[in-house]
Amino acid sequence: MAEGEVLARGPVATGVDVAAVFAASYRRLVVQLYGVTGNAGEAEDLVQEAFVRAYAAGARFRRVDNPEAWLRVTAINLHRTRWRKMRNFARIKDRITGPPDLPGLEEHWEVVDALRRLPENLRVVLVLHYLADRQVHQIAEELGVAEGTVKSRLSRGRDALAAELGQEERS
Amino acid sequence: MSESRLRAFAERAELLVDLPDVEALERRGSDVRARRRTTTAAVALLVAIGGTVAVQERFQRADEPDKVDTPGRPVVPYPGNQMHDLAAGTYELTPSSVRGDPTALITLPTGWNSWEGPNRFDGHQSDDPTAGRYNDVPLASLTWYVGVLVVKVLGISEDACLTTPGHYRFVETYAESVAAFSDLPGYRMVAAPREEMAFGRRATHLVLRPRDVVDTCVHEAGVFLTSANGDIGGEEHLELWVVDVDGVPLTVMKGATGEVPPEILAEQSAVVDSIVFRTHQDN
Repeated sequence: MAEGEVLARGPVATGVDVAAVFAASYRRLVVQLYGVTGNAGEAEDLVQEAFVRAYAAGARFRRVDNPEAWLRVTAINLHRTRWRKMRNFARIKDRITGPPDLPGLEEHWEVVDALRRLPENLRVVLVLHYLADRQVHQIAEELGVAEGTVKSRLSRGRDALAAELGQEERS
Repeated sequence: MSESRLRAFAERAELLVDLPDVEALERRGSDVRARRRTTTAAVALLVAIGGTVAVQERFQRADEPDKVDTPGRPVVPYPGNQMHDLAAGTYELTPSSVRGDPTALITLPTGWNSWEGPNRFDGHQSDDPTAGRYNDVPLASLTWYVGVLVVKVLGISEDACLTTPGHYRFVETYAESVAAFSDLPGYRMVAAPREEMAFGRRATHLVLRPRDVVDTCVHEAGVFLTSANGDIGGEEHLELWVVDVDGVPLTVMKGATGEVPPEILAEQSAVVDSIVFRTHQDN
């Protein structure tokens, strides 16, 4: 189900409660943030924090046109903020322990690892386009960048991901 | 091929995500709301009692520039981005790291905090002179924030929500600065830029708001590259003046985030109105 089908129309747009958005979107958002961060635990934490902010926002959240997009942008921005503050610690920790993965995903680890190796700006655009089903103009709006920038990042991201996966397959 | 593998990963991963207790998230959200309401009400009451009177007595209006008497006003060098309380008084800001560039005098009432520019936020412990060093505690849970910056902007982010410095549109002249601010990524202009006299000088006035989708990141991202403070973030409500100070373009930014009480907004306006530029010839 594409998020816009239910969340941008119907009851959500006019003020459904956060719990309904949670039931419809939580898992999908965690996977998207997993793609962005490369860390399943971090993704869960960020999405939960975004829902806390949605509850705290009250009526302001209920008025947004697309609650799932609001939650995703909030979670991505939380990630960026934390990354700025904790990047050195996070790098050291990941080097020691390795970033957490979702158990049961073994057959997809190549994809997860390939995503992790991409620059974050390419990774975010790929995730928004392929995992969140967002069109170029919607990604541009969500990230506050020009459509041309999104197209360029999408193209470079596709090439980079294919190259990473190609290397995995060859090795 | 790689796209289909990406989608296959997402479909599988979605089945593996455990749902947390949504009621616990709701309780945390409700707690945040309750704290926000309590703090805002308390601050609004305090400001209503004392703030308005102090502001009225202390400040001179910008439309009365002849009454500004900078030579006789005791001026304290602004401490810069050290987090602590500022005593009421007039401070000299240094917007540029270039020796000989203009400085700015700014007058503050009590209750303001030192950072890149003076700021004020809920939870500020201005009654306790030793509490300044703890301002990072209320900063972590604030519900509103106002700040005033006087900066020499060298570059403007080419990307909203930028997290790593390095992607700037560089500006040198007054005209380049106005053009770049008029096209600030992630922001929309509330009204067309207006050329006017401000702070006794030629200036362009702009009022900007972040686009809805980026309003959660603007104060965290490096929006502006400045001469004296490196990269700094934006605010939810951003009003600014690009000022031609004897050929040097300096920018006065009046930023606000959150539900700021009207008394605080009035106080912030008075702080902006107090700004007087001091050039090399004045010294």
